[in-house]
Amino acid sequence: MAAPKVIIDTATTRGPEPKPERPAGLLRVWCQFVIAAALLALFQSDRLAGTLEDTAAELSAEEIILSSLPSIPRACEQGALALRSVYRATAMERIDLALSDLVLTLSTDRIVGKAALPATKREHFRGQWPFTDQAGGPVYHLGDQIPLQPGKEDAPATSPQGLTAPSDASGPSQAEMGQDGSNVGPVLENGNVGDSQDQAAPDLSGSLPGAETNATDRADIALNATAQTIDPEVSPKPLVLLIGDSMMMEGLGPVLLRNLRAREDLEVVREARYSTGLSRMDYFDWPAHMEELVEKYSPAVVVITIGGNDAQDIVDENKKRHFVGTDSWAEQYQQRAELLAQAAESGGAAIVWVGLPIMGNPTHAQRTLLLSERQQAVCEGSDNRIFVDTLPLLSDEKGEFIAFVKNEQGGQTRIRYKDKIHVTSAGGEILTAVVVPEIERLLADLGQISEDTSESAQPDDQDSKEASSGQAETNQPDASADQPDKDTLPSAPASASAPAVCAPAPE
Amino acid sequence: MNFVTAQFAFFFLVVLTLWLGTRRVPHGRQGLLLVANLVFYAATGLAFVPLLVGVAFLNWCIAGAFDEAATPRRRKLWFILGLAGNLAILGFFKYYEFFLVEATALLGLAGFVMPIEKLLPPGLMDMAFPIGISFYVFQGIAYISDQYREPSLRHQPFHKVLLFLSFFPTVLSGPILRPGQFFPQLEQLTTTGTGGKGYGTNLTEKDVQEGFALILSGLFKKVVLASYLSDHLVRDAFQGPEGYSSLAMLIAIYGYAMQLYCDFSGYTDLALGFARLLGFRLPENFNSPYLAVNLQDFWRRWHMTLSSWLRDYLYIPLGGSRYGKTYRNLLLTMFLGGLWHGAHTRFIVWGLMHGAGLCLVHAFQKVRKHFSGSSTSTNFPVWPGLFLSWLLTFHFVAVAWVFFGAENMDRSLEILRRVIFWGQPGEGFPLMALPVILCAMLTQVIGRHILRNFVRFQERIPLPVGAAVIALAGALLFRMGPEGVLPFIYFQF
Repeated sequence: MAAPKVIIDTATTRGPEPKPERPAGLLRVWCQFVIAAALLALFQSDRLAGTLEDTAAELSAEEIILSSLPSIPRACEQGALALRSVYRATAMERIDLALSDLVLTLSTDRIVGKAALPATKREHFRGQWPFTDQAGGPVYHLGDQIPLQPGKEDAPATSPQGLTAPSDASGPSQAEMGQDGSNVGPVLENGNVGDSQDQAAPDLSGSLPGAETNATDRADIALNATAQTIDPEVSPKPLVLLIGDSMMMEGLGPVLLRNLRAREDLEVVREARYSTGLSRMDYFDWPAHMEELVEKYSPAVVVITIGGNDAQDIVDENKKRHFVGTDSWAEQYQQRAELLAQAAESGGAAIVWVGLPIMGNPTHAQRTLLLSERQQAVCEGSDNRIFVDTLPLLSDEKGEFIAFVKNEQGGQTRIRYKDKIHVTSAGGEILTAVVVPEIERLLADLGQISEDTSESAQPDDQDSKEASSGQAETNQPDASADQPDKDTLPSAPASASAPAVCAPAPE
Repeated sequence: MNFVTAQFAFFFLVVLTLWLGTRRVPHGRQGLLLVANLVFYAATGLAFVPLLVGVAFLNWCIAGAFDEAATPRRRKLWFILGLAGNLAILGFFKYYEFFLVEATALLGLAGFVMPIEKLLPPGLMDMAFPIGISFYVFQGIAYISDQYREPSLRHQPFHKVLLFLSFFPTVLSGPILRPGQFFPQLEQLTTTGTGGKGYGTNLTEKDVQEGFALILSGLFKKVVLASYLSDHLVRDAFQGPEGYSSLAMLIAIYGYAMQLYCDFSGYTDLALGFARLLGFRLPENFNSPYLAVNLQDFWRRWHMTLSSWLRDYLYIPLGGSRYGKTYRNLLLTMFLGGLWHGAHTRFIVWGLMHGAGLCLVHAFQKVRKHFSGSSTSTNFPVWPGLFLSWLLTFHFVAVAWVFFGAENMDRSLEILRRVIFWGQPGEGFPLMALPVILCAMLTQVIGRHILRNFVRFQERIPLPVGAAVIALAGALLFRMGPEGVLPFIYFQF
């Protein structure tokens, strides 16, 4: 009898065969992508709507393509608006808010920023370890529970110095403020505080066509805030706040920042945002954000440069579209600019509004000229507002766009980027040479800095010298050396030799 | 068109839908992909579509000429001509302004003052930089080089060469593809396979989930980490270092190193993810670069497709490690690598620093080998040595990035001065920057592990739930980032 064969199953002795990978059909990929994209669009609908027209002002090839297919972006926009209204009306909003809260717990800086432990980051984190609050208040770290004042969910945001701005026109009493300045209300994702969102975000339906009521409220707020926020004992240095769009982020902003930071007697903070403006307040609400910044920093001077993205239609609060370049559009724009200026002034700050430089694309240049005119109009008739006309500064003797200026070596320096919109660092030097003296003059008038230190604005490096020399050689003024006399300010024209100062001369 | 926009999501949805619909149409997929590539590139600059097509045409012609060339000498002549053509195009767009500015400066010194605009046809000085030109020119060079070296390789038809150069997930900033990686996949995915299955024959559920996971990973790196570091610390500190304290500046230097990694690696993850959903597997570009223990190791992990391209098409043709010219070739390769980023002193300094560092590492390894008899054996304890090597390498790389990221040499030196002369007063840094930097570092340590587990989790749950998880994760990431996302840093190169 033959012995049975022993069959060794090598497969089983080696363990189970690796499971073959499941093939996936493209339909499955497609379904998953579509569902994920649709849900994501729902979650993001508030931001999505704002992104569709962001590139409109850039007049790029993208616009050419889009303009050749006009129905697509419009349909997208309408679709997004419809989605948004559905989204607003359903439980998705609550999910979204829950998400925002969750993010806030992860994003300590926003809590720190809003709880306003410091007046500025600068004071708070000045290389100290462990970080301590100047005013001796508690310092919050990641994961700390920030105490809320019982029964005061809509309490105002406060600064460490115990500075505060009221959440309504009457404002809370000092007793309502925390002893250590740590009381904050629930902070929403957009930085508004609790129920005071209505105040922080301007109600356009009530304010845009007839802005007086809202403006009056804002003026009251400003008075209250001014009375309560300036505390020279705690914040001896005046603070210059730089806000705006990409112009403030690149080119002008960095140079201005460096120039002002070089001064010992000033604090300077930049809070600009790319791709923002006043035409799309549904995307980013600058006036509301401005109020938060004023609460947070209590600036003495606010420098504004905005409008690079604003040469586009405005949809007002009644969903009526105002086409770019029309009178109604300009009126709407001016009202929004006025709101921003009022928000900036709400803490008692003065304003230096830096107008847009000439643009390289003729259509865009024409539109931005309209914007500049409206910004200038906003500054007219107020002691606290100065408009700096930059049109003559970065153009040739005929007033036309130039990208290069001669430098002192006889070569050429680029002052505008190839997009024909933004200024380079050298271009920023030319603008800074005009803007800084205006800031200094305002601060001197406010008594925040002494007169003798207000004439020290000089470009801070080699680039600036090149730029300035180039500017001189193209018949541009060396504005830092040729400042208008105070006495001539009321009638100073918008000429190439001086910024257009619309404000009457201070007493 | 930026990957992190609603416009791109819409574009990709249309492409994916049509990709599904054309799986049984002969050559339909290739046509669709070609149109998609051109539309995508046109959205970044319509005027440069002819340039992209022109580069593809040049390389296709050169490769075709190889087949026609009767002698090796003629082949070589054609190859040199093709190389020169590619480099001339790249050099013109990257450096013409630099040369013109210098030329006018020289003319100015000689007394001939001439407005720069008059040296060129109107509008040329303000012509925008064609995004991605470096990457598709490099791929073009790779194509003709491979064709030249391997005569047995099949010369591809023009439309396929154009597809290779203009492939939309990679056209803006890589990864730099090799012909051997791309054409076989294109063949498999765009021609009807056995049984008429065509597309999907090599796509598994795991691939799909990896594609989504890579997209989420890219969003996390770009939208959350890179944006935070840029917005809250690095941009301000690098633009105006004079206002920052020494400690803040040091954190900003670490922050920039992490921002650059998250920005570029995030872009790569997105590119890999979108390509994976179409069925393409692209080469990896990053392999935890800040875990490198020496510079050689770093360059094997950072921008891997560029460093391997430089090795294969520049360093080795220069002679590589042969003939005792290692150090010269290393320096030259890194110098040219630096110059490729732009005609600025700071890029050259950055390249030379890495070149010198690589030479030092090479010399050190040689000396150690000489004394120990082997490059691997050592009498020293391993871990402390490794830790020190890692620490040194990371700091060397981070310091070199200062020249890469600052606006000019003055600013770079000021940044370093503030750290070297410790105790400079000035603005501090947001506390949150520390966990963000740590998180960026952790993505390199445990990122793959998290990705793998996420894929496993997604494989186990039903499709609608998986989609909801992806959407929720995406929404959370967008909420954690700022409104509006900046362009990727490497778009400028």
